Amino acid sequence: MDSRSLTNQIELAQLSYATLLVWLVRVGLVVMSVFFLLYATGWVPAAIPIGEVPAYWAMDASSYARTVGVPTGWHWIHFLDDGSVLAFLGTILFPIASTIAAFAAAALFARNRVTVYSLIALAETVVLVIAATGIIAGG
Amino acid sequence: MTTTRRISALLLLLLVLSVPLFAESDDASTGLIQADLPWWAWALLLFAFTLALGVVAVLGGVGGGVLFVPIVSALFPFHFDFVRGAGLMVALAGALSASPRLLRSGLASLRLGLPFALVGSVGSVAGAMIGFALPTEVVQGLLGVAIVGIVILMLISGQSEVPSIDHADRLSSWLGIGGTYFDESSGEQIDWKIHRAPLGLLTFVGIGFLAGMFGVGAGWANVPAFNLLLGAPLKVAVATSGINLALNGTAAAWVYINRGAVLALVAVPSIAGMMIGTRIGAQILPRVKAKVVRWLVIVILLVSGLRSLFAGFLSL
Repeated sequence: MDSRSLTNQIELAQLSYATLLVWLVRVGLVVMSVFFLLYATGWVPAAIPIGEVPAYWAMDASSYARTVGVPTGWHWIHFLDDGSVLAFLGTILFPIASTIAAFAAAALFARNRVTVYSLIALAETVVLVIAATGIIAGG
Repeated sequence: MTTTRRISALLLLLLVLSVPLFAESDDASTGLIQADLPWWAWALLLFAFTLALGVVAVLGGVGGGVLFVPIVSALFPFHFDFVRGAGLMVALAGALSASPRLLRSGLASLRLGLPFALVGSVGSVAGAMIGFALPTEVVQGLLGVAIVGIVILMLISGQSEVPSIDHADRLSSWLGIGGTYFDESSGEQIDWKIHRAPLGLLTFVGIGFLAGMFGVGAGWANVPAFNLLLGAPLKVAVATSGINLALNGTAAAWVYINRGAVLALVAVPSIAGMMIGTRIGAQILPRVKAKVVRWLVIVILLVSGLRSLFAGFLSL
């Protein structure tokens, strides 16, 4: 493979990665706004109504979770009918999007046979997924 | 009133608001603004404030995250954990939305960004974990030290438009780090490569660590590291910094999320305000004297950094 074709292929992977990011960010922004509005307006009932949050936000994160009873780690996944959890989900769509994009970069590099970068992007995805699982965060 | 004067007035207001905090803040969880407001008033206040911060960040040539954490923690009553969590989300959302345009233009390089983002992400997770393990006051005091360090870095570090690299090192050659971009200002095609990649890997572990611990993003360190240490052209360094910020920010963000340190009522208005503010800032950038604003940003950062340092360590 000459350097020119290699460059072209990398550019293709980079362009595809950019396009994916555009859509992930657009969807993330819309969903974040909608979920926050559902919570703020009270359309979806919440264990901790938004008006009560200021009474607790001077607490540290673990005291807040303990006192208010909000789920930490991935336990929120069992409470998707709760408005506060929906608003939280809308907020974390950006890290979810970024993790998906890292995996997509690995796939795009692999498709273009740029093995080293495919492996680097895959290793990055593994780091992000391990962080997301909460195993090393103790969450 | 010119746009520069308006921006300067806004910054001076922020500065004046910050000064009394040396006396006020002996508790890491309380800011200057203590009022019995309804939630929506807090949300609007935070939105308006971060919108202004977004404008200032672009004009001052710094990332939103590095301004957000010290200033919002100084002014608002949220616990430092939630400010750091929101700061990471703000930095992450900004970097993700800016990256596609820069990747498409060819200025941002995945080849340059990914290897350093990988080691930076490991550092970032470690930094976030240690940040939660330490007492809040210590983290706040250390943030003050870091912010003062950032100010010094902003004052002493130069910039090199297109550094001259004689030989690419073996690691970067093996990884094929380098590229070509078209420089519109000079009308030339610029070929670039880097050197000192092994030292760069170590440096990015440290940068990731600090960014994760304080939730401040890392554009302030990524750009000089890419440009001055590794020898990437300045435009490539600035553009690629966003890729690293997005990936390192994501790694640390997961730790904050799992710890329950992301509060929608703090994060959502902040993300929205900062994203709109940075767009406005980019639009008015050609009309303001960015150098004046940059100096004022340095002063604001220094004041908020010293405030954080004293508020943290004096309350131990």
